[in-house]
Amino acid sequence: MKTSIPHQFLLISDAADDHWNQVLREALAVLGPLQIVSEREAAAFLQMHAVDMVIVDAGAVSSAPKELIRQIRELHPGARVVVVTASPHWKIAKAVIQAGAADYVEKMLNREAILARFGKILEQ
Amino acid sequence: MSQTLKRRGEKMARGTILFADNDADFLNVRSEFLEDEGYTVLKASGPEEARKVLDQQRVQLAIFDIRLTDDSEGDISGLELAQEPAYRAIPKIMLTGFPDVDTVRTALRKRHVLDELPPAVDYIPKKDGPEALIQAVGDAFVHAVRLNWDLQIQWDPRERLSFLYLANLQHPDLQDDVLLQRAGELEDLFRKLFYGHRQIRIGRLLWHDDGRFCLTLAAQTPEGAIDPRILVCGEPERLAQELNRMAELAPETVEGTKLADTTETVHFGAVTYMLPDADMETIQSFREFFEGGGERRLKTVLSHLLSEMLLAWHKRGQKVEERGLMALYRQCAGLGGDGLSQTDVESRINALIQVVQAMSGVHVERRDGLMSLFFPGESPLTCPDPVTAVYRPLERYRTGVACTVSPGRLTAENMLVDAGRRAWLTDFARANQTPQWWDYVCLEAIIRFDLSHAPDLLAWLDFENRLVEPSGLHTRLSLQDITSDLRTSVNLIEQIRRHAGGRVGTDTLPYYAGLLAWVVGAMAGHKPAALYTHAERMRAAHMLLAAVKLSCRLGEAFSPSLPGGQLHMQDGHTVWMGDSRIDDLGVQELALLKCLIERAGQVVSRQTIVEEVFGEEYVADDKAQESRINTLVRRLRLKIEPNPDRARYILTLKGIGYRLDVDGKPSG
Repeated sequence: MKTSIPHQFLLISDAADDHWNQVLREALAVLGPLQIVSEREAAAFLQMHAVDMVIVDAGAVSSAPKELIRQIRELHPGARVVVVTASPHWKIAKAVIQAGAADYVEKMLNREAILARFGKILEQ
Repeated sequence: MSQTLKRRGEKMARGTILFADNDADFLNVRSEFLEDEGYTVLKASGPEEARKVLDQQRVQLAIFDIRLTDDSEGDISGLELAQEPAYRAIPKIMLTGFPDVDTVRTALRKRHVLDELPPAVDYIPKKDGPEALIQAVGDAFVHAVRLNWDLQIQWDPRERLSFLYLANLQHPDLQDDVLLQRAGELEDLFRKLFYGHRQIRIGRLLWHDDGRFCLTLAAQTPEGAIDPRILVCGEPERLAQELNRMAELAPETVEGTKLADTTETVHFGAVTYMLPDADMETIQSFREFFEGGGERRLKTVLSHLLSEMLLAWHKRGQKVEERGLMALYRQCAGLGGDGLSQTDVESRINALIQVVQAMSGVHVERRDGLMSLFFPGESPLTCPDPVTAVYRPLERYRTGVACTVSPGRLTAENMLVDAGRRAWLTDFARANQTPQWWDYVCLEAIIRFDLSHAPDLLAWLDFENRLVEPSGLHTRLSLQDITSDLRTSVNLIEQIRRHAGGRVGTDTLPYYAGLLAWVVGAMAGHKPAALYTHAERMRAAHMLLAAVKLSCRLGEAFSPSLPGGQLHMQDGHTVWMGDSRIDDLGVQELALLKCLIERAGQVVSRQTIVEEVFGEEYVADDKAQESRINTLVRRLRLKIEPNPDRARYILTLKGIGYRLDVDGKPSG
C-alpha cells in the first residue's frame, strides 16, 4: 500500500499523550506522516498546511464533532474527515456522516486493521 | 403538526414515493400518514416488488425497510437494494427497527467522493414514529430530490415536441402505461436539471441517435438572464460514459462547446452544453446550412471546423496503436468490437443490393471475392468485393497506426452552424482515439454521401471517378464531367483533403481505406424497409458504386506481395501473424484456430473440428455440419489469409480435413 507521494494526516485531539495516538501514527506511517494538534490549534494548522485526511478524536475534543467537521470542510473542502471514537453510537454515526464525514470509525489497536480501514477511505 | 410541515406538505403535493416494507400493517399505517401529507405512495412488500415499481413507475423518493425480506438478523436486503447501481439516482430513506453503526455507515456514506448521492440520504428508527418519517421525507424532497416544481416549461409550437414524444424516442418499445410514466420521469429530469431556473423554452430536436436525443433550449434565471443550451439525453450509463470521455479527452478551448450541467434519474441521464455567444434561435444543423447553398459560406464554416474545432481535439495528443488500420477503422465504422458481426454486415448489404437492383437495369453480382456492378449503358465494373476487403489488413498499415483524439462520429446533424458561420460539435459519446485520418474521412463522407445530390447514376459515376483519381491528398480534384449539382461538393472535398494532407501527410491509401470502412458501415447500418423512394435507391446505388470504386483503388494495397509471419497464439486468445495482431476473431473462429494451432502441421479431421469447436457429436455425411465447418473455415481464412482464395495457412486436404501451416509458406 506504499505510495510514491506520502499522504498528509492530521489528528485533532486534546489528549496529546494518548497511547492510541502513537498506535495510529505507527499504523499510518507507510501512507504518510501524522501530525497531532489540539482542537485550539487545529484551525491555524489547517490554514497553513495541506492535508489529505483530518481525523477527529470525538472523545478528546470539546466541540461537537458536527461543528468541527463543518469548520474543517470550510478550510479544506477536499480533505477527508474521519471521526474516531472509543464508544460508537449509531446516532453519532448518522450525525457526523450527514455532516460530511467520510467515515466514523471505532478505535482499534490492530495496526494492520487501522491501515486497511484508513487506506480504503483514502481510495474512495 | 408544525406550520412548516403543513407548508411542505402542500408544496410536495406532486411527490411520488415508493415505500417498501414486508410488515404490511406498518406499511399501510405509515403510508396513510404520508398520503395525508399529500404524497402519492406506491407500496411494495419485498425487494422484487420494489424493483418492479422502480423499473416501471415514476418514483421520486424511496423508503426501504432494511430487513425487507424475512426480518431475520442477517437480512439487510433493503440496504442492498438501496446500493444497487441501477437505482443510484433515486434518493432513499432507510427505516429500521434495529439501528446500528454498521448499517448507518453503509447507508449514509458515499461510496465514492464523486457520487452525487449516498445509498440513502436518511436513516430513521421505526420507533421514532410517523412525525420523524414525515420530517425526513420533507427534508429529502427539499435537499435530495430537488425538483423545481415552479419551473415553467414551454415548448416551441412549431416543433410539436412533448415529454411523451421524447420518451418514446428513447424507449420506442414500451407499453403505453409505462411510457406515460417515463414521460413523467423525463419531466422530473428537466425539473431537476433546471433547479435554479425560472423557466425553460424547449426549442428544436437537433438529432436523435441510438437512444439519445439532442435539443436546443433556453433557460431563464430568476434574474431574467437567458442561458442558451443544448441538451443531450439518453440512458444514464451512456451519458456517464460520454461525460467520462469528455473529462478525459475534451480540449480546454476557450471557444468550444462547454459542459454546463448534468443529472440523472433511473432511466434518463442528461447533459447540457453551452455554446458561448452562439444564437440558438438561428443555429442550424450542418445539413440545413449546406442546403442553403453558397460555396464561399460553406468553405468558411469548413475552415472554422477544420482549423479550430477539430484541430483543438486533435492536439489533445497522439498515440500509436498496436492494432492494424482496418481493425481500427472497423471499430470506428461500427463494424467491429461491439458493432455488427461480419455475418450481419453481409446480410444487410445483400439486402441493400436487392434494393439497388430494383432500379431499372441495375444488376449486382458478388462471386469469388469480387463484386460486379452492371449499370445501364455502361460496361460492367468488377472489383475486389468491398465488404470482404474491409475485413482484411491493409499491408502497409498492419500495426503502428498513428491515432489522434477525435470528438466522435461527425454527422450532418450533430455539427451545428451559427449565424457567425462558426461550427459547433454536439455529440461526444464516441469521443476516442481514432486513426488520424478518421475525422477528415467522416467530413468528406458526409458531403459525399449524405449531402450531395446528382440527377442520375452516370453523374455519380463521374463524381466517384474524379474522387478516387488522386494519388495524393494535395492533388487538385478535376471537375471534368462533373455536373453543376456536384461541383460545390468536389470543391469542399478538395478543401478537406488539402487540410488533411497538411496535417497527416498526403498519402491517399489510409484515407481511401477510411472512406471504404465508412461507406461499408453506412451500408450495413441501412435498416430494411418496406418501401423505398427513388432517392433512397439512388443513394444506396451511389454508396455501392463508391465502395466498389474505392475497393478497386485499394485492391493492390490489400493483396500485395504475401506477408510473411508465423501464426501463433498468446495467452490462449491473442493471435499474432508475425508482428501483427489479428483482431476481431469470433468465439468459434478463435476456437477453430486454437484447435488447428495445437495440431500445427498435422491433419485435423472434420470430426475433431465438430467435437472440439462445436462441442457436438460428429455425424458422418451430415450436410448441415459440413456446411457449418466450410463456413467457419471460410470466415477464418478471410481474417488471416492474405488471399483467402489461395490459402497458405489453413490448407484443405480433400476428403480428410485441414492442416495448418503456421509459416504460411507459398505453395509451389
